[in-house]
Amino acid sequence: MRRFLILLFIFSAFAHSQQTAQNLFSQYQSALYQIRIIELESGNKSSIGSGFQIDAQGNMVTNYHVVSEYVYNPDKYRIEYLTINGNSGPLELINFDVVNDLALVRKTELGETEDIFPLATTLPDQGTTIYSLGNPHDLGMIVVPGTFNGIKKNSFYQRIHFTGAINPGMSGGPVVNENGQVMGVNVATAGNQIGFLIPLSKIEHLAAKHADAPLPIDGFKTAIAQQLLANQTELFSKLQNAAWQMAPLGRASIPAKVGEFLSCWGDSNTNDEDALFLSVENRCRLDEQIFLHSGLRSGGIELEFEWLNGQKLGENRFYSLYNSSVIGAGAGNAATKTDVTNYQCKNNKVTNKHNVTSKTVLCIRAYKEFDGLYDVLFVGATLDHKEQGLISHFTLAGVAKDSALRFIKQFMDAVEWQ
Amino acid sequence: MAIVLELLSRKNIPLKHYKFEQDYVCVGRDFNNDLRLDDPYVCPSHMLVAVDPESGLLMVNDCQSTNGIKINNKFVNQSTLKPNDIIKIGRTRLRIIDTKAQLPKAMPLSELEENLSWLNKATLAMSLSIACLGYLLFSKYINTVAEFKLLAALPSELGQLAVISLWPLTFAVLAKVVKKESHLINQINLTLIVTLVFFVLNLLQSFFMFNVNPGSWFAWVELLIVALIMMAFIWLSLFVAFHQPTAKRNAITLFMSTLILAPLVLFGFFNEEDFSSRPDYDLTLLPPAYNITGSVETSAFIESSESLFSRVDKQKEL
Repeated sequence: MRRFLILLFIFSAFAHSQQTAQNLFSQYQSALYQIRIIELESGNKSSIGSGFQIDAQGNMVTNYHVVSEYVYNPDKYRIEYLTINGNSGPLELINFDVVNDLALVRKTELGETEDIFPLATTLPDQGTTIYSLGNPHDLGMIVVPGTFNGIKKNSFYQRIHFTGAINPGMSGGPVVNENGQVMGVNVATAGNQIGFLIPLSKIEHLAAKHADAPLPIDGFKTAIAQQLLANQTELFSKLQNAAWQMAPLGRASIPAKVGEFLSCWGDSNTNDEDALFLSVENRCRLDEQIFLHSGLRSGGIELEFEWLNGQKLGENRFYSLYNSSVIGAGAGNAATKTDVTNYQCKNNKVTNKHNVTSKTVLCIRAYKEFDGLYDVLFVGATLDHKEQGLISHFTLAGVAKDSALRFIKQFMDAVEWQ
Repeated sequence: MAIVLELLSRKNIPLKHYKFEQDYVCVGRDFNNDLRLDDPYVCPSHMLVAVDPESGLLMVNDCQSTNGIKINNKFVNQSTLKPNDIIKIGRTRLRIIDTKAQLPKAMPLSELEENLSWLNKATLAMSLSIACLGYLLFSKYINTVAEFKLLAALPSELGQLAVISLWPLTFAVLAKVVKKESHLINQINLTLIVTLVFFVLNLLQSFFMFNVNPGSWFAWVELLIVALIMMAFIWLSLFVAFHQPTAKRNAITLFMSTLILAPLVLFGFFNEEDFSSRPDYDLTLLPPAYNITGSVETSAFIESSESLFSRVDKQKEL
């Protein structure tokens, strides 16, 4: 009997969620749109995403990455919406938030009645069923029930962890609670039912600009630059104010974790019994980067330490290995020729405040379109031991000069011998 | 008047010359001839070269030969001859030599040639080969992170040495082809010495890069040094192999050096505008024993790095 009750309960819960999904879909489908980027030359769509209307003035929210082609080449593309009934019309870009991958677009012609998605007031409890809506792979609008699993732990760029299938094309679609109120926007998937959503607070922040005039077309890049600059200021002040957690690595003591939003991994070659040297690695990075266009990411941080011990090799052979371990470092973020300059480097032998001497190289490249933003690459190798050495390496993407210099100094002075 | 005939190769390179004091020369395959040619296409009695008693000119007469006579590529039966005319009978080529013509002055004997005589020692070649092989094996040992096995490493390093020896072999063969001494030992010694010089320079470069941290100008200095050594090497190789006028040797040296160095310069220096997502940096590391220069403090390094920002900002405009 009890078993029957449980089954009945499960069935009814399932039926309930089915019911809600159907209701939600039929109730809100007219406020749900496919966002298309049309290439002017061919007149056909070059990329698609989803979007949803948030007010009667025709404002819609989608992902920045859905409209990024237009932002970068406003003279080659235009933005269009397509309703579930097959009606289409032009959209204008009002504003965007590159850091949180959101964009606000507006219908230029309004119909008689406009359906909207209301925004939720709070995030639900962990475990609540929520519904993701969107148009995956241009297959038509669908609704995907899934589970709200809170804000992703240790992330600087906040994301809701959603257990449910999000697929390409659903980007920019709303995720609603049982009452049909938006509490997130589809943004990314890590596969296997792990999806990520932009949380409510970021949507509210952008939606507050709903009454604004559209950004001028020549102001897009300036707006991106301002947002990136503000973001890096916040990121690096958090990094510099956090107490850097020191940990031993070989004979050195290194800043193993410089901020709680970096995720860290370790590795070593102790399993390789034939190896004549020991290599122990500690890597930390920001899990997310800021998408600017298909060839350019920014806002990332990577930190790496490697302890090498080659007492079996002898001094000269060890240094040959050591030397080959420090060559060929590359940028941590994707960028193309039109986005950034080539790196310029400076190298020297540097002794830090803990008397650790390293051969150090610092390389910088500038963003061609965003004044005052740079990518930084650093490699240092200690010179204090005959058969052992510590390699420290980091890359910073999209950072201002003063934040960069402060971080580099703090990083270089952090390493000490135990 | 003496008649002088010169036997030529198919490419008109002199092989041998014959001087006759009499006024006529019978040429053919027969042993009774004054000049006997061992050529199956030449008749036993093929032609007669004689001084005409009336005019004093040199004449050639066909002795009813099967294949005839060609003077400067034209068939003739009887003809007068001028100095430097080329007679072709059968497959043999002969040139008439003008005994009155002035020869160029003797080339001054180079003292360098005397000074280079020490190069011609097989024992030196042996010890230089061992030194080169030793260096190659040692650097292989230094650069191996796994267990080093000498016997396994030997073939590839011997192969490298063989590749290096292609240069002296080429010059020796070329010298032999143009009927000169091959000077193989000299060429081998010269090449091995230059190879060793490059090995030493390589070590010095690492030492310099590690201690001085030079700017990008240093690449030009390196190029200049390599160019000078290359040119000296090519010049000496030519000097040992052939007896050429100095101007010609200089021209060939310049041409060959350009041919070798131009790709280096083009690919190494003028592709800076190409975009690369990897920085081009040098981080040479050497053991503490080689560390002879001091280091700077963190704040000094940070201060000196500020110029990087303005440098990349300037690059934006390009």
